[in-house]
Amino acid sequence: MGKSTFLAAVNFCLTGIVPNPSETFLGMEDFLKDRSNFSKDYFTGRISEKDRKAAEVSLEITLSRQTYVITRGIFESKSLREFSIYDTNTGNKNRKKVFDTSKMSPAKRHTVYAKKIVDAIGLDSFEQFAFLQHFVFTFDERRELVFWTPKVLERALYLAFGVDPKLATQADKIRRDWDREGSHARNTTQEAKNVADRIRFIEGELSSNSINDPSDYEVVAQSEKLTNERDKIQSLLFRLKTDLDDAELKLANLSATQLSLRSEYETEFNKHIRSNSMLSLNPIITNSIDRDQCNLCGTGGTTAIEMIKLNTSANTCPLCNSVVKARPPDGESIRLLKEIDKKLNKAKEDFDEVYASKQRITSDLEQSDRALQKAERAVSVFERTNAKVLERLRLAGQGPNEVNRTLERLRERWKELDEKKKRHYELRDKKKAQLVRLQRKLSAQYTEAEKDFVPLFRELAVSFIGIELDVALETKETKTEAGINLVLTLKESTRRNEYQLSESQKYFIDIALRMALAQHMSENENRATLFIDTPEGSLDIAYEKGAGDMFARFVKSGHHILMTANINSSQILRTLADNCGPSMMHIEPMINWTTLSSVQKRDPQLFTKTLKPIQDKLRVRKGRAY
Amino acid sequence: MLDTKVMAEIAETHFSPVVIKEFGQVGSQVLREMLEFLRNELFRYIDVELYRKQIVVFKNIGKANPLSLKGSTVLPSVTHLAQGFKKGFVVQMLEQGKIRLWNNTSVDVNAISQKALVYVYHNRSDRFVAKGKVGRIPNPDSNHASVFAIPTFDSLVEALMFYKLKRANNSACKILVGVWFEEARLFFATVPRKPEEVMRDSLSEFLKSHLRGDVDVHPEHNVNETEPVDVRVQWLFSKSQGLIEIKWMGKSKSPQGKITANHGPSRARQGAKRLAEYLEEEKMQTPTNAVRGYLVVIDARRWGLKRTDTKIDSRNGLYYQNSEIEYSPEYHKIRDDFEEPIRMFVVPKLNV
Amino acid sequence: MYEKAELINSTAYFDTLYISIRLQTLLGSVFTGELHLLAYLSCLLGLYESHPVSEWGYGFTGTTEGAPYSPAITAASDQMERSGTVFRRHQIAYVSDRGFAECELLSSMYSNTTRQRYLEGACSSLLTLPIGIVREALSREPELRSMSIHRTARQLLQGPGLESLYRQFELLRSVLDHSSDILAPAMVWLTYLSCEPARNEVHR
Repeated sequence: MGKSTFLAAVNFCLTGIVPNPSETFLGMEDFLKDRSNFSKDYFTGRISEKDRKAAEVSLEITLSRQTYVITRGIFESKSLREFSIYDTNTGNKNRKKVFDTSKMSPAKRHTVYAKKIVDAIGLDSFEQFAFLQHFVFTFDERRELVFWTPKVLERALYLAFGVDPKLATQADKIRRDWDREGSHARNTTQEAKNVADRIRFIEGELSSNSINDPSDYEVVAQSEKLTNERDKIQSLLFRLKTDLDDAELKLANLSATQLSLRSEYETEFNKHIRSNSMLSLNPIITNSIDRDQCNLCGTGGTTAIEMIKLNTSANTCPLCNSVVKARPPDGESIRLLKEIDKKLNKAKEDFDEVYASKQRITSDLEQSDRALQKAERAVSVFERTNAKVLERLRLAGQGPNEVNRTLERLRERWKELDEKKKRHYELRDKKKAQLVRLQRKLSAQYTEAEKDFVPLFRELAVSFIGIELDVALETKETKTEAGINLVLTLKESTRRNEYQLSESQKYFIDIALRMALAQHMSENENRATLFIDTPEGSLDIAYEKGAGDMFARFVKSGHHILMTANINSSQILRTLADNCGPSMMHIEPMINWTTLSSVQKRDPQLFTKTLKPIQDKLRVRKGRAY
Repeated sequence: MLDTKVMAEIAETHFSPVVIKEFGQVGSQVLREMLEFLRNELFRYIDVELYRKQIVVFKNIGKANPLSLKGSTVLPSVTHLAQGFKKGFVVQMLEQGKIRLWNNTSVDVNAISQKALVYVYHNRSDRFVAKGKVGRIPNPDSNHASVFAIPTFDSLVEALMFYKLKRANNSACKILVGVWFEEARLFFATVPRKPEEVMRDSLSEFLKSHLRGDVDVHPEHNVNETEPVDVRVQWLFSKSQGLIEIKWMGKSKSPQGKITANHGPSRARQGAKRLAEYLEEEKMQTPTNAVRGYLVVIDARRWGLKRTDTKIDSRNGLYYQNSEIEYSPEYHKIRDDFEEPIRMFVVPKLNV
Repeated sequence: MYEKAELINSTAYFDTLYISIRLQTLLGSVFTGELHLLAYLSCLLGLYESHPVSEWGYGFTGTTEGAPYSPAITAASDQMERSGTVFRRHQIAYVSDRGFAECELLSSMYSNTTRQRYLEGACSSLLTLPIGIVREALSREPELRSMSIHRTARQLLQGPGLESLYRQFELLRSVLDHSSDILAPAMVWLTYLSCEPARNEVHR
């Protein structure tokens, strides 16, 4: 369990998904679909096979003065093992269960949970919750940037400033439809173009009167020759394949026959060889020999047994001295054996013959296959080299009526495509219009909220970057495009693209945006939690203290951060510890409950040494709390 | 590693591909008949070691006789040859086991081989000749005059007795011959190998080729005297084992001519004692295995042999020829897993 | 019923009987261990002529000492003893008249025609090579050699030694004229193997 896996597990418990970093965000509904397979893959390898069924993650979260207890199996995206609601804050031993799902099926439990949490948070759908949790409230190893991912930002803005969450749902759907119609329109346009090119070619050939060029007839002859050759080989190949199937079937049958005859022969043979013995078959004799001990007197040893064998293979009974006539070989048994042997021989001969035939057919097949490939290559090369001539000849071959009919068909097709394209564009434009209406609504609502939101963001961002900055909403309404965006201005210079900022700047400004959005969206009773994974990895040393200040400011405003970090010389933790103190900050060393690598195990004292100064800051001192 | 050259060379000269190449399927059939005749009849009845002159055996490929019948005798079987044809002979294989014999005849083997498959033994070498082409019959054990005269033994004691009489006695083994300091077989050499190592290898090689059954002959490489076994013979399917301990008596000399050892009967007795102790240990550890001990003593004692001697007369050389060792205790009489010790006297080369 | 219910493999039975008779003819008696050795050699000769191992009818294990062993041969041999086809004293067996007659009958079966060639080829090697030499030579074939090096028992003709064996056979085929006789390849190959360093020398 590493740092990123830990956060991924927490979010998985909440939403039932682990985002696939290689997939592009297309919409909230798409985001929630088909993630279960990636989620399973993510944890496979991190959980040992024997623990697969038992592995689960549990959370207790506070929401509207209630505690939600959720347990999800690590490989169960759409079900919950436990979901209960208690009426008091987490940690209170006297809490009372107010909602119980123990009698529900796991899948139903998840459905109920999804509804409850969405209602409690005040969203319109579970898709919105999943989107917010993974794209706005989590800054993880994917390093997805809200600010500079238009599709993500647009949805976030609708959710943050749209007042009615249904507006966000609507906007999400419209944007998705808009994209889809645009894509269809482009594809249809391309197809129409191809058809138009074909029409132009045929018209061009017709007008140039080059259809009946006599020198083309040699080409005809050659083409016919090559295609005939190819067709002949193809027929041969088909015939050979049929022959091969037949041969294989015959071989299977003959093989079965041989097996059956062999078994019959063995049985009869065993009857035959045992039928010739008399005394030696007697149980007393056979048992004596097998046990190496005379069954009559108990004498053991080689000499005794050899005597038994000698006496029982002779013609005299060793007990009563009577002459025992050796039975002549059973004539019937011999006859049967010979009969089966003859049949076996015949079956073998037949098998060998068919096998030889199969070998021959296989060899011919391979040869023909090679010949076919060669013939097809020759045809293909010839057609490529003489494409125009052949097309011309094909048209000539069709006759003027046929050519005209072809043209007519193509023109109809083009008309169809053109109309279809127009419909797609119309739809797209309709969607655009709808989107623009929503956009305007959002814009108005943002303007209302701006006076609260922008200062929030500025305060956070400036505490990090130390430079005056500003953010403004920008809407785009052109003939073909519509969209809504936030534009960052730094030192009076607009930074529309992420590459216009350093890595530290863009990541932490993005975090600041999320924090501001979280602050704006949260009610007093339900403060948001931000999940941050190893932020110091993306941080320039100059900004370390600033980052710490920014985080501390967010936390002091009543919100929460669940952060994973490396214990190193980074200032973030120290600054946080200084600012937050033990009442607002807790460090949980992962080394106590995770598997360390061999490198990490080498010097465990290093952890303690680096962690200690920070832990000291979080120790409650007598009479003074931070 | 595949040795193409060796394989090709063998194929080129080996009699079987040569015969089949020259005479085809018929030749193959005749070859089999001749091989059976040579192994199961002719060489069972004659001691080829005694023959200095050529022995020729042939069988017609077609109907025509390749050799004039003048001077020949038809005999009912090969047993009639048993009486000392020491000067060489020619035999034609006929039907029903009969043979036609020309004795004391030099023949043109090449000429006969045009119409018959011809076998020739001469001077410890066997070969077939087919249409003038010679096919070699490799002899895997050149201690025997002919490949058809290599015996096999059902029992280890039989084999050891043969070794005693035919190998050790005259040091007639290409391995054993290297144990001597000089040609006269007076002293054992210690360089390049110790005498007991040479003896062990000689006996192992002999037993491997001559013992029948599912036998595994393994020379042991002892690092110390506590493990007395020199050769281990194991019968794989019956779990029986024969442990052979080899001791030698006589004197050994270093390359500088210094006497390095002088062993007498006490050494043999020591060997017997150690072998008995070892058998006892083996019995305790693996009581279900049938283990038998064999003490082999190579005896090269010479009477009055001095360090500087290079030859010896028969009186001194054969002084110990019949001098058996007295053992006390006689383990072979008190233990049922201890074979009677076999002393193998090595005759020196007299007045060389 | 005290008799063991296991089916005796008919091809192993025939091979055991055939080899027993040939051993008795050539060497005067039959040793159990030699049955496995010659059966394995026969199988290899079949492999030389491109008959897949699976066609042989039964398998072989390599013992830790580097010798071939087939449970099917042992079972067949035991059954022969029980039915009086062979008589055994200690480790030495002799084929009875019944055994000879049985062999004649089984030799006439079509199923056994092809394998007789390889059995005969293997046994014929004893015409010029003592059994001990054949045993030594065969211990140097890639599969058995591998067994004695690794000292663990496993199924033969299924491991990496099989590739080396194929290559040896390929070379053998290339140096011999193509004839239908199996005696030549058997003899040449065994002679070649007997030139390879012994496994004892490998251990040194």
